[in-house]
This record gives sequence, C-alpha cells and structure tokens, in this order.
Amino acid sequence: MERQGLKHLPVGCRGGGCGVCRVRVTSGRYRTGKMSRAHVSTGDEAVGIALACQLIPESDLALRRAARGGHDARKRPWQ
Amino acid sequence: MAMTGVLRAGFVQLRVLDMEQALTHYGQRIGLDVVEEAPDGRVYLKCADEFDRHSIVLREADQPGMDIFAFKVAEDADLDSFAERVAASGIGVDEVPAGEQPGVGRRIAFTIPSGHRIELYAEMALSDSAPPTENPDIWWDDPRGMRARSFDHCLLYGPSIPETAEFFSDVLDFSVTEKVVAPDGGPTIAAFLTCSNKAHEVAVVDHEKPGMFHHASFLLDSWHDVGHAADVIARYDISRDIGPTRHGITMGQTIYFFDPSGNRNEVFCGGHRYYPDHPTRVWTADQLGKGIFYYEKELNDRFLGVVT
Repeated sequence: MERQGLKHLPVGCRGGGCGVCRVRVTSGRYRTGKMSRAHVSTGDEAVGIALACQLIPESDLALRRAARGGHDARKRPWQ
Repeated sequence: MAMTGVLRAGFVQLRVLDMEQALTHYGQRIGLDVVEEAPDGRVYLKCADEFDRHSIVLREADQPGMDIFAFKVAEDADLDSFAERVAASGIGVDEVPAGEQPGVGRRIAFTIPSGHRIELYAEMALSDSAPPTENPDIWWDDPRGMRARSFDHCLLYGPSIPETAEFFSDVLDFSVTEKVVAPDGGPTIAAFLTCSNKAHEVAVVDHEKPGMFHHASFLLDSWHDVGHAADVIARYDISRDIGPTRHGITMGQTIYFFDPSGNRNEVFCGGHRYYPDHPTRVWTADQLGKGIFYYEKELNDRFLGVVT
C-alpha cells in the first residue's frame, strides 16, 4: 500500500512494533508476522485485529482502520 | 578529574520480537560485535570503539521497547550517594545485584517521572575485544555495515517532562543543554540533558503514555558515514524513518531507521560540545520543525507519534 502511494493507513515502524497501522480484517484469508502484544492481544487476533505492516494476504481482504486510543495519532496540546 | 558522578550513557536493554533478525540488524547492519549470548536468552553487544564489555542488551519478548537505560558512574561510592539523593527526592530505589548482567557490578534502579527505568552502575568488565591502548589502530576488526563507533544516547517519550528534566538536573547533576518550550511561556515539552561534554546523553519528549522508547543512537565518524548508512538502509531494505538530514537541536547530522521489531535507531555524527558554563539553548514549539529537522523545517508525524 505504501509503495502504491495509498494514504488510507498511517505508516509507522513497518516492524509490528509501534501499532499505528492497526486494522480489523472483516473478510478474507491472511497470515501475520510477529506483532507487539501491546497492540494486538490474542483476543484481538481472534477477532481479526492485526497490524497492516505484518499482514500477508492469502486472498482479497476487506479491512478498516482500528486505531486505538493511546499514542497513535493523538496530538499533544503543543502540537 | 573534572568529570565526576554520572559519566555517560552506558547501556540500554531493548526488547525485540525476533532475536535472529535483531542480531542481523544490530550486528551486520549497524556493525556491533556480539559479546555473549547468555543462557537466559539475552544477547550482549558492543561497538568497536568501546572499552566496556557491552552497551546494547537485547531480550526477546512479545512486545518491543526499552527495559532499562543505564548510566555509568565514576566510582562505587557514587551509587550510595545517588541512591540517597534519589530516595530523598521521593522516588523509590532498588538494587540489582552484581552479576545480574555478566561482567556488571551492582546497580541501583529507579523509575523517573516519565515512566522509564533508569539504572546506575560503577563497574563493568573490559571487553575482550576492547580497542587497543598501546599504539592503537583506528579499528582492529574490519568495520561492518554502518561502522558504528559507540553507543551514544537514547531519546525517551513520556509525560511529566519538566519534572523529569528537574530530576536529572537536581538529583543526578545533569545539565539541560537545550530545551523546547510550549508557546506563551508554557511548560518544557522536550529537554536535552548531558552529564558530559556531549550535546546530550539522554533526551526526553512529552508524550501521553509513560515509559515509551523513541530511539537509541550510535555515533559514526563522519557525514560521509551517515551517507554510507543510508546506502546500507537502501541496500538491505531497512525501514527508514527520515534522513540523511541535520538537527537544529544538538546540530548533529543524522539518519533514523527502525530495527526489525520497530524500535527506532539513529546513527549520527557531529553536534556541538557542551561545557557547564554554557547557557541552555531554547527552542519555541512553533520552531520545533526546524529544531528537529533543520533542512526540512518540518516534523513528520512518524517522528512524533511512533514509539515502542
């Protein structure tokens, strides 16, 4: 998505660590690489939550952003 | 000896999701040497121009980030005096026994207002591959990857930045070399702190969540080596954040990238030197873009928001 210039999701560390590209997959088959448990719990995984940078599609996927409160994208008063 | 008390940033213990990938990154790409793969799974590494046996400790875990940032003090008695001062400031202190990390003496540990675990230690064994001291060559083993010379500093993200900066200044005798202040006389939102001649040994930036890790930084020889690091990043498809560029704050020449678990790294060269008679350089938040990225004059969202 990043190479294609798509801006639907923010791009963070690209290593499954920072959580800014957290998504919910609503349909399709996929595998994932290692993802920080701080952002994707086992319960999250069971309901299709993943980090987009670690998502390896095995079919067409439908997904939407699942940003969480916390550090991602929340601005501080001085920003 | 003019330098007493806390001497320098000593080691950082980082969590990684995959040790094998992390060792390729830190060992082959940044160019550190593996000192020891310990039975508890932690791996100890050092840079070429460091005498002490390790400066980077990697621990495999299910979430990345920083466990500990430790500073070396001049002598063992300093640990007792700092423990007293930390406790007197209202922050609890524990002691980590000698040998918890191989080759490291006893450490004192405490959590600063930004939520990070900081430790102090006085003794670390010399490395078997320490730089020679007699008629020393510039390097002994051929430099690899980005040719990192030494571990330099960390940037930490968390809340309570004014209190954290005050703690480093008042309790650990650091100086604020530069700071960023919110508009209209608001609080300090970032502080660059040193206990030495370097522009910073640690920096702290305001963030909602406590204890977050922004980056660990390694010193290179030259601006040309920063360019070479960019070539390594491109060649091996390392996740790049920003650069090569230059900081207004500290004036260092730099490039940022991520390890395979998402922990940010910096390699840099240059930067100004600090002496205790220097005034603090002050940046206003509206000029933060220029302060952080002097050429671009604007921050990217990733640099502000992406932490582990």
